[in-house]
Amino acid sequence: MGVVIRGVQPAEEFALTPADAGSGGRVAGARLEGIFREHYPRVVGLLTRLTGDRGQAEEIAADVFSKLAGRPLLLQDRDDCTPWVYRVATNAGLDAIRSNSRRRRREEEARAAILHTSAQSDALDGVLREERRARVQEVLGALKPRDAQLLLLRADGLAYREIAETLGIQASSVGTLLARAEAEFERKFRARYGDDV
Amino acid sequence: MKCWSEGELRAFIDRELPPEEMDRVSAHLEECSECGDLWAELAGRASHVSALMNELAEMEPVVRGGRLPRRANSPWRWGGVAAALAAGLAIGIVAMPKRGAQVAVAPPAPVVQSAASMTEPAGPVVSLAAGTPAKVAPARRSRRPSIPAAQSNPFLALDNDPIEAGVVLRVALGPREVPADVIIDSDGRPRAIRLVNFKSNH
Repeated sequence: MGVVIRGVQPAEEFALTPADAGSGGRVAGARLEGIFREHYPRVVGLLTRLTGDRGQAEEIAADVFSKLAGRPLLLQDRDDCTPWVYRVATNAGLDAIRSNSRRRRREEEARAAILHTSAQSDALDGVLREERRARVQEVLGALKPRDAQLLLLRADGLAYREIAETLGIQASSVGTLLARAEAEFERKFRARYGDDV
Repeated sequence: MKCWSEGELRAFIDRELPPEEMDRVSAHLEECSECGDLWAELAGRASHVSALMNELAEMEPVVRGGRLPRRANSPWRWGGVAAALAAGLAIGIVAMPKRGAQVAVAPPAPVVQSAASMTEPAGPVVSLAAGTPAKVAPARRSRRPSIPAAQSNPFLALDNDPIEAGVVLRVALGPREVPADVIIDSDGRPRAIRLVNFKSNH
């Protein structure tokens, strides 16, 4: 029998015994608050960019942090925590834009009908801009979540080091992953909409 | 000289390489057409994708207005109030409606509406300092009991803007220290005044 079990990761449900629920709970509460203060605005910003709806973004972000509050083990490790928050938030945001896309198509048809009747130039600009946004969201929704996340964080102006910390990856691999994500984004965009941007 | 990877070139485009590597990549790109082509491709794509992603940035919500611009972050907000307090003047929170404040307005027509909106909650009286109120806002007045002019000690509005909230300061005017009440709004501006010992001619 050469197998040695080096460590056992208990299931989270059983990890917090009533004995340490008191002090542990307080520590977790303080950590949660710290993470919330540090990341909530940026998470909301990222989700607003993704969904185009600040209200919805705030709802999703609040949901993510309340989920985090229910995971004391995760809260114990700050390094794990941040990537988890962004991953869960981005996934929820991507789900939201995918389920929004059908409604958006209906709205686009309605807008097109309005445009048909009133051809004012600023109305046209508005419709075209809305159309471009919808396309970008659609393509982001079709990407792998991590690729979408990378593009969103980069668009948010984060440095590679910050992106790496946020995603829990090596800073040296950000360039490679970003280049791939951009190639994938462009490929999917062209496949849907051609070169018409 | 070694060629650079896609990831390194991408980082070079974002100026995310250490300074010495930035120089080396830069020198290499002048010599190696293969890396030059790859760099051009990556840079073009990066700017294309970045432009598309910026379409989303415009979705950031515009601040929805509502407050008057001059009220926002006024540098002297409450400054006047603080100064007045320092001068040791009597102060009373205006609960204009509760006090059944009688608001008088100097140029009648434009101000009546603002004065009315100020006093609306408790339905007190808008009385006019000089004259002909019934002609100015008959509909409003007809719904409200009016305080006899002899009992009223009306405030005189100093401008045409509505007063939402403020404090009343008791001040002493001039060398004879004539007592007067001044309404100071949240920006610290004096908005209305009345003489404490005002006697109506009626």
